[in-house]
This record gives sequence, structure tokens and C-alpha cells, in this order.
Amino acid sequence: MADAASIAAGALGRPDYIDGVIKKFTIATVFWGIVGFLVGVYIALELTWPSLNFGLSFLNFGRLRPVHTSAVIFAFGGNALIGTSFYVVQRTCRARLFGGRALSDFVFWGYNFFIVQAALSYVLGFSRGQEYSEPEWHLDLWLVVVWVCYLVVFVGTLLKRKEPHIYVANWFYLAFILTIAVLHIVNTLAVPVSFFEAKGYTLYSGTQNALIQWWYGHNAVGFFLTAGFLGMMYYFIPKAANRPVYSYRLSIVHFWSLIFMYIWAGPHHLHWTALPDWAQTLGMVFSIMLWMPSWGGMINGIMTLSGAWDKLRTDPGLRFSVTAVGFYGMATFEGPVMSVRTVNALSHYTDWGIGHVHSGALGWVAFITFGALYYLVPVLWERKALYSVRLAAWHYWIATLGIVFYISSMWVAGIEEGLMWRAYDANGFLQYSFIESVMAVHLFYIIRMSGGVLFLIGAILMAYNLYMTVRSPSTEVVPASGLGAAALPAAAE
Amino acid sequence: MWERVSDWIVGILVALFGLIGLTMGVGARDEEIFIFGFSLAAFSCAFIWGIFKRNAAARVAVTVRGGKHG
Repeated sequence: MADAASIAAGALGRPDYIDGVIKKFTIATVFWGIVGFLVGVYIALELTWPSLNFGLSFLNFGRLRPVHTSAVIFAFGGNALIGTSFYVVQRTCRARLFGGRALSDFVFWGYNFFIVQAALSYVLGFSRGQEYSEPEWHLDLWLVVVWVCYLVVFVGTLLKRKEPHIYVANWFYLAFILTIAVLHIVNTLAVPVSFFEAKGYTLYSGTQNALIQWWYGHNAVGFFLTAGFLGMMYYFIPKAANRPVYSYRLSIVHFWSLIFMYIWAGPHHLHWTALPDWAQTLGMVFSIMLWMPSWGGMINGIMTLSGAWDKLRTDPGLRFSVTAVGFYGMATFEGPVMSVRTVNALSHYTDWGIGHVHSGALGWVAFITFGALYYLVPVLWERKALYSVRLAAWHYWIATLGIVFYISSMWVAGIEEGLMWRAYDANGFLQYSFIESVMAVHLFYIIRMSGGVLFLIGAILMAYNLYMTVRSPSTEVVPASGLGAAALPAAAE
Repeated sequence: MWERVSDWIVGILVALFGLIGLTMGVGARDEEIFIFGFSLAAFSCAFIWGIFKRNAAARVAVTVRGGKHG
């Protein structure tokens, strides 16, 4: 049954897209972003001054840490990815979402139900104890149901497309959806103690469990935090810059080489462990080979601005997106370096790893999402422009400063820790106790926490700016066919 | 037409999940399954109510546009 919006869309001669659910995903992205950053700042404070857990079990670092990681990766990042994929697939296929409002609404509410339940279970102390894969069996099964529905919506929309070509952004989104499904299902196979108890035991044991966990863990980075957001990059940068993708051919090479190589790189998380040497070497070699597709993609993203560099002065959203691609290049340079076994001997288990992760998470994932949000909100809510470009510029500089504080302090702390842990005295004894290395990096933990606070302040400014963009009378309402009418980025070749 | 079929399929599936949740909540042996089970049942009711509400609103809108009111 057609509703008023559908009839209005038909009268204006544009496809009858389902945008309501994308608005919900947009709001959820902003909300979960602030929640995730806030929890991150709190646990950074706990690491600096551990007494701030007040002796309460639910404020313990061990319980709040997965709340932070799940909130920023799966809640903030996941809502951004699903929402933008629904936006992009409709515009580039010129087709309404498959399954209608009921199915896409189920994906939204079901996914966010999963997020809330997972956060509650961590705080209550229920966890599988495997990084980025903490939820117990019942929540894992629920996520499978929601994810399959997401796949049905996305693939169904692709199949009923009115454009003959499947735009490259959709390939990246599809790789993200399919691979995450496979990774999640295989890694979380478990035998529950009972239908009425949350505890379940994984099917794998020992080194096999570690290998499967890091096959999952690294590809969660590769396909959730990289491929999906590359889909975002390939749509929103050309749209915001109003330029074609620098090389469409390179984007196809980027896609196939990235998905082929990433899937093998997981064992680099298990250097110097019981994992056989050949498997560690395989992971290292594929990690180094990943330089090529990663940098090919980065060059393609940045060079898309050829002829439109001046827009960086006036469009803070585009500035976020392009800086994100720069951080993507930096993080994907650093990752392969850290995967080399000799470098890993110094960097592993230290805060260098935390710095590396956050250069990707804050610089790449969050910045490319901020860029997409600044583009999407005026378009979705049919507003002329952002409420305040100056406020968005402030967001950009505060957040950038926050990232610099965060990653530089963690680099220094990590290298210092690594050097202290491996230092021997003349008699062959360890020169430092562990607690001495903790005390040595206290100042860097304070700097890291300050960086997190700056990043959080920036996100709050963005939330206010986006809210006012929707609500303020000063953002003049324009007709629906105005902004974003030409949905497909211009063809490159 | 297809979207109405989708409403029915999704609605029935969600109702089924609600029943499963209710069963889990009632028989729960720990607080996690208790919370999850009853939350799933509540989620199911709220979601199906949303489908009803949307379809009822759309029906009223069509009736009003068709001049069948009053």
C-alpha cells in the first residue's frame, strides 16, 4: 500500500526510495558514536587512574572495554555501513529496497536490539572472552538472523536494479556483507550448555581456536572496517567533490586484489606463538602484499579530487573524507610493517598496537563516516545546507588534534614498553619489572585520554550541528528533487 | 503487493522469535537469558505493533485522499 511519501515521490518523477530507515540508521550512528567515544574516554581514564572503577564490577575495565569496542565498531560503524549501503544501493541501482519497509525496518531494529543486548551482557559479565567476538551463542544466532535479512535486502535490490552496471561501491558493500556472515558463523560455532543458559563452548580448541579467532578478527578489520568503508569512499567522495572516480579500472583491481589478499593475513596476529612457522610466514607475506591494493585504493580516493581541490576549503565534510583516505594509507602502511616478525617481536602486546588500531579507527573509519554524515543529513532531511560550516570545521580540527595526541602518545608508549620488556642486565635477568613499564607510560596514558576527550568534543559538536541542520529554520527547505538528484557518480572511463 | 507479502512474512517471523524469547525468558537459568528472552518478546510485540500502525495509517491516508471520509 502506497503511503503519502511514495505518492509524492512518484509525482516528482523520482524513484520511490525508502529513506526513512536510512534516517534511523543516521541518527543511530551519531548516537552510538558519542556513546562509544564516551565509554572509550572513561576506560582511558581507568587505565590512567585504575581506582576510577570504584570497585564496582560493572565499571571494571574488563567489562567496559568490549562495550567500547562493540559500540564504536559494530554500533557506530555498523549503523553507518548499513545505512549508507541502503542509500547507495538504491541510488546506484535506481531501485527501491527489496522487501519493502518491513524488512529494512527489521534490519534496523533487529541490529540495534543486538547492540543493546550485547552491551548489557558484557556489563553483566557474560562473554566468550574472544576479542571482537564476545557475545554468547544466543546473541550470535540473533545476529545471524538479522545479517541474513540484511543480505536479502541488499542482494534483492541489486537483482531488481534498473541500471545495467553494478557500481563499484556496491561490490565493496557486498563483499563486506557476505564475508562478515561467513566469518561470524564459523568463528562463533559453539555448543550451548543449555537452551536456558547463556554459556556456550566453542567447537575449536587450542591453537586451532586461536587461528580461527584471528582469521575472524583480522578479517573483521579487513571486511567490516575496510571493505565496507571503501564502499562509502567510492560513493561519497565522488558525490561530494562532483568528480568521477579517478580510475574506475583501478577501483576494480583494488576490489579483487584486496578481497583476495586480506583473507590470508590473520596469522600475523599469532607471531611467536604455538602456531606453525609456515602459517605465521604466510600471514606475514600476504600482509606485506596488501600494501599494493591498499595504496592503489588510497591513490584512487585522493586523486578523485583532481580538479576539485578548492572544495576542501569550503566543504568540511569532504575534508573529513579526504583526510580519512590519508589515514587509511598511513594505517595500511603501518600494519604490514608491524606484521613483519622481527618488528612484531617489539610491537606485539604493547600500546603501539592500540595506536595503530586507533589511527585506522579514528582517522579512517570515523572520519570517512563523518564525511558521509555531513553529506547525507542535508540531503535526507531535504535541507539546503549544513547549519554551520564553521562548526564542522571546528569539529575537523579538534578531532584531528585528538587523533594526533592519541596515536603519537601510543607510539612512544608502545616502543618504550617493548624496549623495557626485552631489556636484560649483564646477568641475563630482566632489567625491568612489568609494573615499572606501566609506571613509565603513565604520562602517555594521560595524553591519550586527552586525545580521546578532544575527539569526543568534536563528535558532540557534530551532533549539535546535524540536529540544528534538521531543526533550524535557517537551513532553508528545498524541493526533494533538488539535492542529490543525479544519484550516480559520473563515469570515469 | 510484494511489500504487503513482506509485511506478513516479516511479521510472522518476528512473532515466532517473540515466542522463542518468551520460552527462553520463562525457563531462564541465568539473568542473561532472562533479560534476553523477555526483551526479545517485548521487541517482537513492539515491532508487530509498528507494522500494524504503519498499515493502518496508510489505509487512512488513502481513504482520505479518495474522499471517502466524512
